Amino acid sequence: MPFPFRPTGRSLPFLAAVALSLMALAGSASAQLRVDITRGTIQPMPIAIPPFVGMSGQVEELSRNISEVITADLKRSGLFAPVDPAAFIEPVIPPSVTPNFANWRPLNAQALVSGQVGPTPDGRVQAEFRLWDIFAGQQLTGQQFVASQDNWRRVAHIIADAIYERLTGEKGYFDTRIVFVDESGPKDARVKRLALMDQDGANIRYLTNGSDLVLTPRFSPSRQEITYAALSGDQWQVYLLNTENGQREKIGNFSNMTFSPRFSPDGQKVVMSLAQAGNSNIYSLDLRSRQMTRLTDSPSIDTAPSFSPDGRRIVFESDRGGTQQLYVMSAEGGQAQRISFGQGRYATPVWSPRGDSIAFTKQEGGRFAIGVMAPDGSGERIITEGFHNEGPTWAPNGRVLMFFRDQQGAGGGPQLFSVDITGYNEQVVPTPNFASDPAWSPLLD
Amino acid sequence: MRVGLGVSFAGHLALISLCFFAFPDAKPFTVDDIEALPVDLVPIAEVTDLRAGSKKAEPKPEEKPQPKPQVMADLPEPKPAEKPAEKPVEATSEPAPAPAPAPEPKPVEEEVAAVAPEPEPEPAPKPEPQPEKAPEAAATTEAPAPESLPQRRPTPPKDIRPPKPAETPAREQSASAQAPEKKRDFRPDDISALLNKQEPRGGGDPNPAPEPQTFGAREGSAEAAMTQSEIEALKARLYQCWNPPIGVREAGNLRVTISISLQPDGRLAAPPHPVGVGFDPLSTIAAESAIRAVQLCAPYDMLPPEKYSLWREIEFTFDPSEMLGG
Repeated sequence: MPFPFRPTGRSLPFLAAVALSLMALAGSASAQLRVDITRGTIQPMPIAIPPFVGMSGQVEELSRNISEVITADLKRSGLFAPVDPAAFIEPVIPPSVTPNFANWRPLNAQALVSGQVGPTPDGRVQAEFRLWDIFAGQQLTGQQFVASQDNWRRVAHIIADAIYERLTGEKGYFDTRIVFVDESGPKDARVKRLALMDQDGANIRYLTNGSDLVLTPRFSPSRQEITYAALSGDQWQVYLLNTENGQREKIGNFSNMTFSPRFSPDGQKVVMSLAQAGNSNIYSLDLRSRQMTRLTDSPSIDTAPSFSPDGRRIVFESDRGGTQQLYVMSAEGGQAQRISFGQGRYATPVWSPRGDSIAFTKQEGGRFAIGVMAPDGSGERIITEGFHNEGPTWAPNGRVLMFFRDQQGAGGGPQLFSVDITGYNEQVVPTPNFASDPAWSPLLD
Repeated sequence: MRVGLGVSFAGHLALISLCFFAFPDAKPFTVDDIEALPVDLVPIAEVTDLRAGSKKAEPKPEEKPQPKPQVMADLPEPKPAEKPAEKPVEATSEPAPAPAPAPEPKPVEEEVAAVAPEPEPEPAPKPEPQPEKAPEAAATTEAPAPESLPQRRPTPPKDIRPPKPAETPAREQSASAQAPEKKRDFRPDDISALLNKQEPRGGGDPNPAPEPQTFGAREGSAEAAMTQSEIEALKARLYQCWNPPIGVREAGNLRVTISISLQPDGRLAAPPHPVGVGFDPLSTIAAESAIRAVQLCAPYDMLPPEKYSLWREIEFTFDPSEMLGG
């Protein structure tokens, strides 16, 4: 843009105008409208999951079951809204074919899962799926698995996990299990058995026979192993139980009352509290050397320790300040820092596997709430509240909490619930009897 | 003194232009306008312009601008659904790459490029004049397409496809015949020309706008920026369409920028594409969700057609950081 560069007094306004227009030009140099979108509408993503194709008659039902379990998993997560199969224009599509996306756009589905199941020569089944982005018209991911027929549910959960992870950017949690205390019988003579089931309530099996009182089962964060406390006779014992092979091992025999054992992230240690002479302290037990290390030494009740996922810190509850509050200390013990300052009493802190928050039970005015806060105590948020909520446990991806809620009344009993950490999507977890004290497993291998 | 003044001026000018060119993305210019409520004074001028225009206007622009092309645009998709997949895909992709489609646009393209690189669409008026005025220029080239189409369906769809190519010729003719200056208005360079013209008046002129004698096509006012309420309407639509996945929400600072180009009727002219997005899975997922939102929201028929030159290209920046904890 040529302009006379003679700064005389008269041409000054003109030059100023030129400068201004130059600025305007520079401003619109990219000639594009720029718009910042800082908000969205959080809603379940519509996804179409047509029945998987069965490659032979004998796996036809299996293939349909697999797609049903995938659908149920995704729906329960609250993040997906599976489209009603009745609306499908094209009922079944094999994964080997690129779907006709025009048939799926009218359903408002944003993603589509196609899959098939076929027998392998050695009698197992091979499952294959592809996840498609309907708008972009392209494949997002695709995998195949070979498994024994009995394991079809795990195949479905693994596929659901893959879909979940690809669409949300978070690890899934469907291929996991829950250990809990199954409670049957009348209220004054409950039989408590340790039970294990899939995350969706299927495949339930019992790990103890109900002769001992079992408490606080906890999963190892790194392997399919459980630790729990049991009272047989008048002895409190802490056990280690392998859920794969059923092997059980006693790791301690304590004359004193023992509470809430919990694994370290590497599965090599167990922290717990031992009651002694009216107060209680936290100990760490090395599983290999069987050496106990005392971590707190105070004339107060310190209990419910839980490791941070990096294994460096421990959060626990203590009444050293007068009321029951949460404290964080180094995994080696030492000075503890109080992190909870709200009204009421805080108990059973559990560090999230993501490390970014701590779940807890809070008691105030006769009501029990489950909440989360950051490890420094900031951002406290109540997720659910009621007559009696207790025992939060994290899904391995740190997105979902499970806890138990006790119903009032003679016929009432505890039941398991899951809830998103946003507080939405609270759901009953189906169990055959009353159930309490759930613990979520890591993802299965 | 003069020298000093000159040096001072040159220095300031250099500094200012440096600021603008060296820091084009400096924050202050994208100041978030959420606070700005849609309290615009602009619409009045637009209304008056409209009246002035409609009085002088020739019968030609009987406008029902947006709705028509849109509805018709929607139609072709469902119909082909009877048949195979390719058709609908074609249908969508055909109109999109304005310059690309083989048969029809080509001849037009040359003209467009030659005369009016940044056409001010006015989508609606065109389809109608087309039979009257455009035929000479466009009819010859388009003949094949309309003929083949009508056989399959009623007349209206015929117009859908042609409108794009037809628009420009029609405009050119009228434009070149009547007021060649108008074309210049669309070039970015001429913004400054406009400014310069108005300068001598002393700036206080109370009614400078009505002057440009347009045929009801308010091209003079089209040069104005998008109003706050127009942008808010666009944002509101996007807020509805965008469903940020949780992983992205939690990541907080994961911004993605999606660039789109639009047709005059508000449909996407090409698939949206991300601008400078990382390759890690989370960035990919963030970009995918943003692209989905942009596609879900199309057509962008809430945008004022007379300002097409301003929104032909839009760059959306999706920033989930404010949604944390939500």
